[in-house]
Amino acid sequence: MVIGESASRVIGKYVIKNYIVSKDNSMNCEECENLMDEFFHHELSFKVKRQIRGHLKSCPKCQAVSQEYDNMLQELRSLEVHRCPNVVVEKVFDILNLAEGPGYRISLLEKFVEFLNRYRLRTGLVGAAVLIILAMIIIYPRLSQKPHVKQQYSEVQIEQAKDQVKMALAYFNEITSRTQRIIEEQVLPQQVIKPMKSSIRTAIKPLIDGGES
Amino acid sequence: MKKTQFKKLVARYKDIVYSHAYYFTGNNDDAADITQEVLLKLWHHLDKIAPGAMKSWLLKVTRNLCIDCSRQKREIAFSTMTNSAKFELEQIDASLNPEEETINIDAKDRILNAIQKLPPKIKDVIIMREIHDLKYEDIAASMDIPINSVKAYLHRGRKLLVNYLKPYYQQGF
Repeated sequence: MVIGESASRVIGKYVIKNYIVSKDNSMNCEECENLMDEFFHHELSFKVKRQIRGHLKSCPKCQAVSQEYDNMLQELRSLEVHRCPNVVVEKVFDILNLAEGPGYRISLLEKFVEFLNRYRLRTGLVGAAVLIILAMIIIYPRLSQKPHVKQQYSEVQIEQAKDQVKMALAYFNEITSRTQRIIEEQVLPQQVIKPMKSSIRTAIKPLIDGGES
Repeated sequence: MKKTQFKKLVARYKDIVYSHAYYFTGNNDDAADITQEVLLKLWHHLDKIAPGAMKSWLLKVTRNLCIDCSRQKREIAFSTMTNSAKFELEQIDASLNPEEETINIDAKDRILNAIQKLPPKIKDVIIMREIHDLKYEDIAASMDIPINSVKAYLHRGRKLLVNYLKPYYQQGF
C-alpha cells in the first residue's frame, strides 16, 4: 500500500518536474510547496526551477516555507555521527572471549578513511588535495632554487689551494724526470739500435748477395 | 582468521551502528545495548553474510533491533500504568498540540526530538541519508524496498521535519 502510494507519488512528481510547465509560466503555492524538496536537492529541470524562483519572488508565504525548509536541512546536516564507546566493543569481546589481539588494530589507511567518513569528507577530493600538496612540496623547492653563484673563498683557502697545486706540480715534474731517465737509459738505445741494425742490414745486403753470387 | 575479520569489521562499522541506534532511539544506553546485540549477531552470522552486503546487513539488523526496542519500551510503559493513568495520558495526548510541545523543548535537541517523532521507516531513511550520507542503493538494500520508495520516504520525512520544527522557525528560535 505504502509502496504503491510512494510509486504513484514519484511518477506524478516526475511528470510535474519534467513536463508540466503552465502556459503563463506561473505556479501556485501548493505546487511550489510540493516541489520544495526537489528544488533544494537540485532534482528539477531548469524550466521548473525558474518557475519556482519566480513564484518565490512574488509570494511571501512560500518564501517563508522555503526558508523553513532551508533551516531544517542545515540543522539536519549539522548532526554528526556518534562514536561508539569502547566499553561496548570490549564487552562484546569479553562475551566472545576474544582477547585484544593484533586483529583489532586497523591499518593506518582504514583509520584515515574512518576519519574522512566521520567528518563527511570525500575520499577522492582529499586524495586529490594530498596529491597537490605533495606535488607542491616536491616541485616548489626546485622552482624556487637560486641560480648557481660563484663561491667566494678566503685568503687562507686560496693559499692552501696554491700550495696543493705547487705540490702536485712538483710531483708531476719528478715523475716526468724519472720517466725521462728511464727512456734515456733503456728505451732510447733500443729505439736507436733497432733502426741502426736495420740500416746496417740494408747496407751490407748487396755485399752479402754479391759475395754469394 | 574469523577473529581478525570480525575485529576489523567491528572497527569499521561500530560507529555507524551505534550512531544509527542512537538517532533512532534517542538514548545512549539503548544505543549501546543495540550495538552490542548487533555485534554479537555479526559474530554468529559472519560466515553467512556476503562480503559486499555487510553494511546493508548490519543496518538491517540494527533497524530491526531498534524497532523491537522502541516497541518493548512502549509496551512496558503502557502495561505498568493504572487504568486512570492511561485515561489521563490519552487526555493529555489529545490536548497536546505538536506545535506547543515542540516549543517547550531545548533548542539544542529540537532536531533530535523531531527525528524521534518520525514514523520508523521514514526515520530510518532520514538517518541513513542525512546523517550517514549513504547512497540510495545502500538504503534500499538495507530496507528491502525500491529506490523510488527511498526517495519518497525521504521527501515525506523532510516535510514532516519542517512541520515539526515550524513553530521554532516562526518564533525566530
